[in-house]
Amino acid sequence: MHIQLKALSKTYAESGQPQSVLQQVTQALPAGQFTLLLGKSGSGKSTLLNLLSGIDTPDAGEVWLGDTCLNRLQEPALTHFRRQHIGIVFQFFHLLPTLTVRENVQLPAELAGVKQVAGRSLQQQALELLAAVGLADRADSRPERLSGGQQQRVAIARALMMSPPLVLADEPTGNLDEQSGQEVMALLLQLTRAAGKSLVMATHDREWVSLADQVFQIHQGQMEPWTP
Amino acid sequence: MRYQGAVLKILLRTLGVGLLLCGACSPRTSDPSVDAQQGQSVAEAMSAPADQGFARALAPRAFVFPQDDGPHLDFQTEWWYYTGNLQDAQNPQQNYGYQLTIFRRALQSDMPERTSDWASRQVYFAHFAFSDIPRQRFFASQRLSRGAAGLAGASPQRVWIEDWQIQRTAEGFRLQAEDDALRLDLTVQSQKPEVLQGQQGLSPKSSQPGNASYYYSRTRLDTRGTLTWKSESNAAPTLPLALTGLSWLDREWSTSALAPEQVGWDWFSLQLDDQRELMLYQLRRQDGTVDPVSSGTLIAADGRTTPLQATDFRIVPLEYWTSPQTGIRYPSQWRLKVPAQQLDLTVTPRQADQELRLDFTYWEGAVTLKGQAGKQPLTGQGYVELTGYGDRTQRAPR
Amino acid sequence: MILMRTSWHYYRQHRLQTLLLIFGIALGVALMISVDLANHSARRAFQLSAEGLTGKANYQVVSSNDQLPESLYTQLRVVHRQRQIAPVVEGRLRLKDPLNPEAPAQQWTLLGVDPFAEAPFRDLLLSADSANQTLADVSLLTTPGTVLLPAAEAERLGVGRSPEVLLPRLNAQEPPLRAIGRFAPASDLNAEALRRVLLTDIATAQELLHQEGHLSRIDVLLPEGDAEAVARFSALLPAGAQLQRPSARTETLLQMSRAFEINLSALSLLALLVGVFLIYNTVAFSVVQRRQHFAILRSLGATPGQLQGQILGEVTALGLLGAVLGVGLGIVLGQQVLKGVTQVINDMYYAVEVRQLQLAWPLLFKGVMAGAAAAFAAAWLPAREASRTPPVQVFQRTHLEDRVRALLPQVSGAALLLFAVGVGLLQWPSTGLVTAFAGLAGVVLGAALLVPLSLWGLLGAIARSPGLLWRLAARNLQRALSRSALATTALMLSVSVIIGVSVMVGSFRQSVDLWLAQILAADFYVRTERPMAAAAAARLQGALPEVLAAVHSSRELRFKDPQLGVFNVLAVSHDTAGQTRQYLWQAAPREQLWPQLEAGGVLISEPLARRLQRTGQFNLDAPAGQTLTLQTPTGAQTFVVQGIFYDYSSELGTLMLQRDIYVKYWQDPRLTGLALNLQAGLAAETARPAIEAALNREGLSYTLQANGELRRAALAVFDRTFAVTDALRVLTLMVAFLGVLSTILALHLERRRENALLRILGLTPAQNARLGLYEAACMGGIAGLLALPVGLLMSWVLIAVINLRAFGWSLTLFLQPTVLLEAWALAVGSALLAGLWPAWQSWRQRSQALAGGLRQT
Repeated sequence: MHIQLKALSKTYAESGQPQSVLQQVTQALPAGQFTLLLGKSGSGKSTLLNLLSGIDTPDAGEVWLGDTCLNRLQEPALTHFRRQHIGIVFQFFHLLPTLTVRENVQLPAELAGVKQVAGRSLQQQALELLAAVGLADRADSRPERLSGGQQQRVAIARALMMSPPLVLADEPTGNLDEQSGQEVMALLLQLTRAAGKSLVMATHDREWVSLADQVFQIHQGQMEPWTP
Repeated sequence: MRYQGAVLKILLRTLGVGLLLCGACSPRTSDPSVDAQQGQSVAEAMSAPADQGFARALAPRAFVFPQDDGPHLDFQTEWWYYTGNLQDAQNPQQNYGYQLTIFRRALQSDMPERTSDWASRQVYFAHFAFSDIPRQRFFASQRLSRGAAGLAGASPQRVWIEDWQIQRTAEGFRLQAEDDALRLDLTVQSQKPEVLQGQQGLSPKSSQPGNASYYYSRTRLDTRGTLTWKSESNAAPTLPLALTGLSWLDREWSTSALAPEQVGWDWFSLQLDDQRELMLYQLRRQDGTVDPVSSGTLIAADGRTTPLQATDFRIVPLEYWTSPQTGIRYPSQWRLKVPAQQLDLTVTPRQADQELRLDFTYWEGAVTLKGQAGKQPLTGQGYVELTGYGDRTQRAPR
Repeated sequence: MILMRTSWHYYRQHRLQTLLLIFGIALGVALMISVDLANHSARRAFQLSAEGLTGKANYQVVSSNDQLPESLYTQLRVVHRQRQIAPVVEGRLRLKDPLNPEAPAQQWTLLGVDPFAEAPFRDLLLSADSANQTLADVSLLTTPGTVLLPAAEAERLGVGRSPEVLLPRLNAQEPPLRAIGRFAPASDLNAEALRRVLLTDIATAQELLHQEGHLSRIDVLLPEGDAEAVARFSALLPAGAQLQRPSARTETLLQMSRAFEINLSALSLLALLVGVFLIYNTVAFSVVQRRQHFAILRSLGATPGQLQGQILGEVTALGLLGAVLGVGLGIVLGQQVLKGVTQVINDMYYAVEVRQLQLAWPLLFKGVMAGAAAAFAAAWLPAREASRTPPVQVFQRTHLEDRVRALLPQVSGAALLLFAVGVGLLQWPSTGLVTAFAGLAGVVLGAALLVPLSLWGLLGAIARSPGLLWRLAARNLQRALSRSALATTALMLSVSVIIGVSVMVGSFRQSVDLWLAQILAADFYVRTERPMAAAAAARLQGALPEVLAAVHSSRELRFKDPQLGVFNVLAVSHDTAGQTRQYLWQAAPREQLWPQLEAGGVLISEPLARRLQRTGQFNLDAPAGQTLTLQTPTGAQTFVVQGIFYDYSSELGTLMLQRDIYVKYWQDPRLTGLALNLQAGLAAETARPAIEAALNREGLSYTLQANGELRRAALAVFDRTFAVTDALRVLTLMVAFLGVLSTILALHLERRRENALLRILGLTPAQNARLGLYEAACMGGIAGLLALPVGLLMSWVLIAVINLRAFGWSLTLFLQPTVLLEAWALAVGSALLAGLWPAWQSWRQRSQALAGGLRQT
C-alpha cells in the first residue's frame, strides 16, 4: 500500500512547553516495502506510526494510505478502514489476557464481524497463522503462560489476521531478548514480504537496518533518509 | 371577709388566671374591645356594669325559713359566715376562735342547658380559720370548687364545699371543717330568732337603689363540739377535745357593684355578756373618712333590734399591730362608743396574729371586750374583721 | 506528609470516584439516621405530649375501659378528703381549619380539666392576664363548646382579635367549637408537644366527647417513695379502677408501635449494609488503582504499617466527611420519613403530632460513627492487601484477581456456614424479633457471600456465548471479580429486599383483602365517634322498616387488663361475619359457635392468642378448653375461649363476645358500631340518604360506610402504612445503583488501555459502548437472577417468622410472577442506567484519542 505523508506536523504540550515532534514531514513510501524508522526515544517515531494508523491526529498535514486520506475519515469509517487495511504489532504485545491465544488472533476478524477471511473460516485462518508463527500447539493457552517472544509472535499473527496490506510495528523487539528478537523479526519480514505487504517499523536499534528497503531517521522533527 | 370582689381576687390567684375576675360581665353583654384597650386594674374591672340578668335587692322581702338557709341562685353573691369563740369544756380558761365561711358566686345570670353534670355557673369558695389562743397559734385554709358534680353546693339542708360542710340537724346546724393540722366538728343551736339587718333585712351598700343586700344573722348560737388535733408525725391521732362556746352566723346575698372610693372596712360582731349583741361595720374611704352608709344593729336579749346609723357610733383605734409576715399594719385595739345606748367598750384581740394569709390577706379574729353599759361594767366576746389595710384592691362594702 | 500529598493528588484526579465514595457513605448514613430520627421524634413527641397532658401527676387512676364513673372523683374528694387529685376527660376530635376549610380535617386532642383542681398539676392555665382572657375564662365554664387554643394556633386564627373563632367539626352536623382564648404552656418544649391540644372545661369535654358521667382518668399527686400512701390511696378505689404511674399508659401505647419501628429500623440498617458494600467497592478500587504507586512506595522503604495506616486514615477521613454529609442528608430525609411514620402511627396506633425532627445528638453521633466505621471496615481488607503484597507481585496485574479467585472456596464455605446459622436461628423455637432478624441477617449475608461464586459460574456460561462482545463482557467481569462481585452483591441485596418486601406486602394486602371480604357481610357499617345509647339501634330500625332488614349492634373498646395487657374488646349482638369468618382454631363447627358465645364463651383474634402464648397465658398448641380471666368493672370474670379467628384489624388483638354478656360484666350498655342489612333488592346508594337522615336525627357523630367503601378505606390505610416502606426500598435501590455505577466507572477507567487496544484492533465506538452496556447487563441480569431466590426466601422469612412474631398475623404467601419479573427488570434496568455514562464516553471516543489511551498504564 502506497503511503504518502503530506506536510505532517505534530506538537505536544509537555509541561507547558510546546515540543514540536514532527515538522512539515512530507514523504512517500512505495507499496510492498519494508520501511525502517530510526530515532532516539521520544524523537517522534511512535507518533508517526500512530498518525499512520489514525489513532493520533496531526496538527497539520495529511496521511494518505492508498487512495484514502485518513484525516478525512470520520468514525466509524476510520475504524472500518483500520480493520481492513492495517495490522499493528506493539512493543508490549498487548494481548488480551482474558482471551486464549487463538481468540486473540481471531479477535480483529471477530470485531470486524466477518465470518470468513480469504475463503477460510476464522478458526482455520487463526490456526494457520499460529502455525506460521510456530505456536499451533499453544492455540488454547492463555497469553500470560507464553514467553515474551511467543507473545509477540501471537501479536504478529493477530496483526495479519485480516490480511492487511499495511503492517505497522512499534519496537516489536524492544522488549525481547536477542534470540527472541531475531526470531520475531525473521517471522515479521517473512510473512509481510511473502504477501507483498508494506511494513513500517519504528526502532531505535540499528540492528535491522540491513534488512530494510529504506531507512529514515526521525530527528528534530524531520524525517530524513538515513545514512550510516 | 364578706365581700364579693375579694372572692374574685382569690379565685384569680388560685387559678392562676383571670378566671372569674369579671364575673359580672358576660362576654355577650360587654364590649371586649373596650376592656382590652385600657389595662384595667382589678378594681376597675370589678366596677364594670353588672350582668343585667341577676336579681337585685331592691325592697324588703319576707324571709322564710328554712328556705332562706338555702341558696338564692338568682343573686350573684352569697355567703354563710360563721365565727365563734370557744372554750375547752373541761378547762374554760383555754380559749379558741374559729371562722368558717362558705361563699357562692354566680359567674353569669344564666347558662344554656348543659348535659354534663360538671357544667355550672356557680362557684363556691370557703375560708376556715382557727385561733389556738393557749398556744398563740393561728391556722387558715381555703377551698375552691365549682358548684357541680357533688363537689360543692347549697340547699336549705346543707351547704358544702368538698369536705367542709354546714348541715342541718334536729337542733340546729353541724359545722365540719378540717385542715392539715386540725379537725373541727361543731353543732350550733340558735338562742334567738333571726336578726334582719338594715331595713327589715335589706342592707343598702350605697345610695344607688339595688346596690344592697339581703342580710340576716343568727347572733347567739350555742355551740358545742370537738376539736381534734391531727398528729404531725402520722402517728395515732390525739383524742378529740370537747369544746363549748358561742357562734355567730351572718347570711347575706346580693348583686351589688362597688363604690370606687371605699378602701376597706372594720366589722364587729360582739356578743355581750348581758345577752345582747352588737353588730357594727364602718366602711372606710380613701380620704380617711367613714362612708355614711356604715351601720350597725343592737340586738336585745329578747331579740328585738335597734338599727344604728353611722352617726350613732364611734370606733377609735387604740393600738396597732404590724404583721411580721406581710408587713401590713392593722389596728389591734378599739374604743367603741354608742352614746345613745350608753355603751362604751374596749375591744381587744385574743391574740395579735389572726391574719389570714391565704390567696387574699385580711385579719379576722376572736376578740374580748370590756367596758360599761351605762354604769354597769360589761364584758363579752366576739369577732372582728379588718380589710383594706394593706391590699389596695380590698376596697368596697358588703 | 508526602504520602498524604500523593493521596490528595489521587483523589483530585479521580473526583467522580471520590464523590461516589463520599456520597455512598452519606446515603447509607442518611437512610439510617432518617429512620432513627423519625422513630425517635415520633416517640419523643408522643412522650412529651403525654407528659404535657399528664402534668406533674405522679399517679393516675384509670379504669380498664378508660371510663371512670365521675362519682368516684367526688367521692375521693368529698368523702375521702383527697386534695391532690384532678379529674381529666380526654379524647380526640377532628376539626377543619377555619382558614382553609378545604384542607383535610386535623386530629386534635381535647383535654378537659377542672380549672379549680388544676393548680397542682398543669401550668397550662397560667397565661396572659388580659381582660379578654378573663372573659374567655368565664365563658369556658359557662358557654358550651368553648375551648382554648395553643398560643401559636390562637395567634394564627386571630383568637383575641375577635371574641371567638369558630372551629368547624369534621362532621358538619355537629356545631362548631368556639375558640375563645389561648393557653400557654410554660416551656417551649411543652408548647411544641401540645400543638394539637384543645384545652377546655371538663364539662365541655364531657359534652363534646359524649362522655357525660365519665372521666378518662384522675390525676393524682402522692408523696414520691411513700408506699404506704400509695397503698392507702389504692384502698379507696373500687373494683375496676386502678392506680398506676402515668408512664404505664404512655408505655402501653408506645409498645404498640414498637414492632413497626423495629421493622423500619431493620430496613434502614439494610440500607447501611448496602452502603457498606458501596464503600468497600469504591475503596477497594481506589486502592487497586494505586497498587503500583504503593508498590513503588514500598520499594522505597515505606513499611506496610505506614501504608495501611495511610489508606485507612484517608478513607476513614473521607468516610467521616460522607457521614457528616449523610447526617445532614438524613435530617432532610428524616423530615419526609417522619411524615410517613407519623401518618402510620396516627392511622394505626395513637394520635401524635410531630412537626419537628428531634435532633437527638446520640443518634447523630451514632450515624457519624457508623459511617466512619463502615468506611474503615470497608477499607481494611484492601488496605491490608495493598500494603502487605510484596512489590514484585504488585506489578503483576493479575495477582490480585488470582488471589480473589483462590479465595472463592473459602468465601463460599463461609457463605454456607452463615446461611446455615441463619436458618438455624430462624428455626430456633424463640418468639423474639431479635433472633428473627439475626436469622434473616445470617441468611441474607450467606446469600450475599455466595454471589462471587455464582457470578463466576454464570459469567463462565456467558463467556461461552457465540457473541464476541458478550464473551468479552463476561470475561472482563470475571477478570475483575473482586469488584464486579461486590457491585453485583449490592445490587442483588437491594433487589432481593425489594422482592422480599414486595412479596410480603403483596401477600399481606391480599390476605387482608380476602379477610375483609370474609368479615364484611353487612351492607352498611356505622361507627360512632363516641359511644351511643343502645336504644339508637332499635330506633334506627324502627324508623326505616322498609329500608333496613336488620340492624346489628356492637361495642368496641380498648381494654386494659392488669394481667393480659391491652387489647380490644368487641361485643356484638350478632356475628354478622359468622358464615364466612375464618378460624385458626375453633372449638365447634361454625354454626355452634354463636350459641356458645351466647352462653358466655369468647373468641379471640390470632394476634391476641399469639401474644398471650408468648406471655404464657395461653397455649396455642392445645387451645381447647382454655380460659381467660379478665378484670371487668364488676370484678374478675373467667371466659372459655371457643375459637381463634384471623384478624388483621389490630395487632393488639381482639376479644369478641356476645353483647349481653358484655353489658352484664362491663355495665356498659352503649354502642359504638352498627351493622345494617338492607331489605332485599335495595341498592346501597338508594338507601343511604334515608339512613343518614335517621342517624342525623339521633344527633350522632358517625361515619357511615357501605361494604365496598369500608373495604376500600381499609385497604387505603393499609397502603398508606406501607408507603414509608416503599420509599425506603427505593432509597436502598438507589444506594445499590450507586454501587453499580461506581463499579462500572471503575471498570471503565481501569480498562481504558485495553479498550483503546480493542479500538485499535477494529472495535467501533458503538461496539465499545455496547461492550460497556453488556457488562452492566451481565451484572444486572445476574444480580436480578440471584435476587429472585434470595428475595423469595426473605419474603418467606418476613411473612412466616417476622410478621408472625411482630404482629401475630399469619399471612398467606401470594406470589405474583410479575413481581419477580419486575424485580429482575429493575436490576437489569438500574445496571444499564449505571452503564449509560461510561457507554456514552466510549461512544464519543475518537480513534485519534486512542494513542493516548494506549499509553495509559
